[in-house]
Amino acid sequence: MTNRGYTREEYLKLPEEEKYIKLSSSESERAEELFTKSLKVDLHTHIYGSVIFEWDEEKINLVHQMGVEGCFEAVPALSENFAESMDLLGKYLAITEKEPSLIPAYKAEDIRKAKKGGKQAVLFQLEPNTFGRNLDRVEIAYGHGIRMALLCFNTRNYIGDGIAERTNAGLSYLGLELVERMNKIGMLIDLSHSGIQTSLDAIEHSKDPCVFNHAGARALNPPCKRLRNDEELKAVAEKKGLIGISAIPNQLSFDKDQGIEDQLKHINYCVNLVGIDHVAIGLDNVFRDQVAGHRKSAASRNFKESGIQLTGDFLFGIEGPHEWKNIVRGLVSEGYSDEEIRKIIGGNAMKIIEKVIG
Amino acid sequence: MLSLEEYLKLPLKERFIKLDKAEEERAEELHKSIITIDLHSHILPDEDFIVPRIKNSGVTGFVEAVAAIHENFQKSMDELGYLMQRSIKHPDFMPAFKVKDFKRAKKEGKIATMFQLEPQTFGKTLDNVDVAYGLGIRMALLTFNTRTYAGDGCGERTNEGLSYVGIELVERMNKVGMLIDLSHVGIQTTLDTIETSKDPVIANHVGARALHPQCKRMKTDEELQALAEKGGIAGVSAIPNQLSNKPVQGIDDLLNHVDYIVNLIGVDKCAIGLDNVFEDQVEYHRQAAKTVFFLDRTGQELNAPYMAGIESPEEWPNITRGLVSRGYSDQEIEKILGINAMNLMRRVIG
Repeated sequence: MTNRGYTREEYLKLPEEEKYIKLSSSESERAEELFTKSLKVDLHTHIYGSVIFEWDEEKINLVHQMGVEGCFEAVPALSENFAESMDLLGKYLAITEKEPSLIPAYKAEDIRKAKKGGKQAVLFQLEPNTFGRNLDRVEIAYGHGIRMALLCFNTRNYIGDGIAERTNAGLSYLGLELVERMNKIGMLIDLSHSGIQTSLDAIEHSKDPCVFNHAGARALNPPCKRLRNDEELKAVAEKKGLIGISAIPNQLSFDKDQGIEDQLKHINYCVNLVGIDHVAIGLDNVFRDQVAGHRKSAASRNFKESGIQLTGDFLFGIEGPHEWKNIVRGLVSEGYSDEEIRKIIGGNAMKIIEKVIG
Repeated sequence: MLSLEEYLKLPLKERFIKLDKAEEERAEELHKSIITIDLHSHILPDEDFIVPRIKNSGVTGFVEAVAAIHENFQKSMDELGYLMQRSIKHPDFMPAFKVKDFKRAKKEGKIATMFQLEPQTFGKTLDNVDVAYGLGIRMALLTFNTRTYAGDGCGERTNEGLSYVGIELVERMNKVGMLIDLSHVGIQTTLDTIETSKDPVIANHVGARALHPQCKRMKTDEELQALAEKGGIAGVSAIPNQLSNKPVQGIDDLLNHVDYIVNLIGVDKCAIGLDNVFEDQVEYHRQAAKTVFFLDRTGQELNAPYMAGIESPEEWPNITRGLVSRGYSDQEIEKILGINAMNLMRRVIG
């Protein structure tokens, strides 16, 4: 299948000017300057991939090209075992420590420091909720470097229901306690894969703001349960939380030709609904053929119950994290001011990291 | 009212319901001759003072519960191994895996123990169902008061139905022949399970919510009727402060719940699953109220210090006496005390 006449392979070989949003030369300069000078945060990354792979020159170049000073790297939901999650975190941390251009980050200040030193800061979040019933693991994970965690990943756990669950339960008593524990230690609560009622309960119960760090607006693609409805978006914003707009193919839209415009549509919708101070970026995409991977698990209940349809092959203009610059170009083309753009691409994220994590 | 200490000094006969001579002979004869099964027990810890008391109970078979002290599968299997060796090694006991083992125990004058899993420690690993079966488990709960991956417990903040994993768990238990117990399970998860399960299911240590509306450990009429309609049974428990919240509780409360359930769903659907132990259980509940059991969330108030006439499994003969005093026929008593349990086990377990 193709997107705008290109296969994914052909697309990847295109020069930047053909992949990226067209701008006038003055706009282009403005975008370039904004991209270079602003502090940028991606609230949900998988730059190390879902599995341990060769950390080679090619990968590090792509991360450099991405150019984001603060990546909130997710320990992926490959297993629901806490020890295995911590093992993976250890491997990620080792890569981050060893790579001279990267630094492991634990607070907002580390991201600023990275920017100043021309480096990229990597913070860590836990995508599977592997705390089980042992809430001491909140502290253990924090001690190992985790600063954000999901409550549910698609299915039910002791805390609540995921978006792909048969039911739509709210937080359990243990869920209320987990929220309190995360508040107490300063771990950001992410509700991206949590079901509607669990998300609303968590937002209501949490004394700190929460985030949907990789999502979009349900109103723009109602069958996709990974996107959030207006009620959820308003609730999270009212408590000073954020929505990070993702760029995974076949979530923001089920058209055959998907791309950066879809991401921009979701940004515009959310900005209109809840205001410029509550929208951020959390791409969630990886440096490989993600739809091919999704096709392999398309028959799984997890996938089907999420309401996802594999109609597109890739996202034109934002297929990998290395195309981050195109988001800034897109925001320029949509007419956002410099100040507004700085908020969306990093300012809002920095504010919540500062407030909740430190 | 006597203190627990004073009460326990009374000879057994003085704790029991008074009957006339003919009734008494009938009750004693019945209790001796029929197969009696306690569907939910905690009798096997390694303390020798317990053994003579269990023998006094005259009960043929217990379905011994691996207790809900933790929610770790490995630890549950460790505890099962310990209880199993106790049942194998002690000359008065024998392990039971099928209905015919209860019959053999009766013939040989032994006490049979079948095993059930009270904490839901399967997690999301449904192969654990087969592992537990292989190690001797024949019955298991889906949730214990709180939420699990399968569903909501009766003391949970919410009242959701089975999850997808819950549905698969029910199917796995059906497939291997493990009886599903819904005793600590919330209402919607209970109803979903009854509907999903191809086999009849059990609530093995409960009572009727209608008689004690604030206690969420009790089953509503809707749950009891749904259970019975699919061929399942309800075992009535004798834990203090579950069947009632009065300051004085005892065998009458158990009999009231038996009467209510028999009237509601029939004499073929009622059984006994005491759940009580040989220690000061109210004191234990007081200590554990806010941790393991979350008693406040299940609507239990620790008002009565003990259950007069059915404080421990040793007082089992008093159930038979009570059923005689309430006018049940021999055949009805035999059903409630053993046959109903065996019929269900035969169908589900073998």
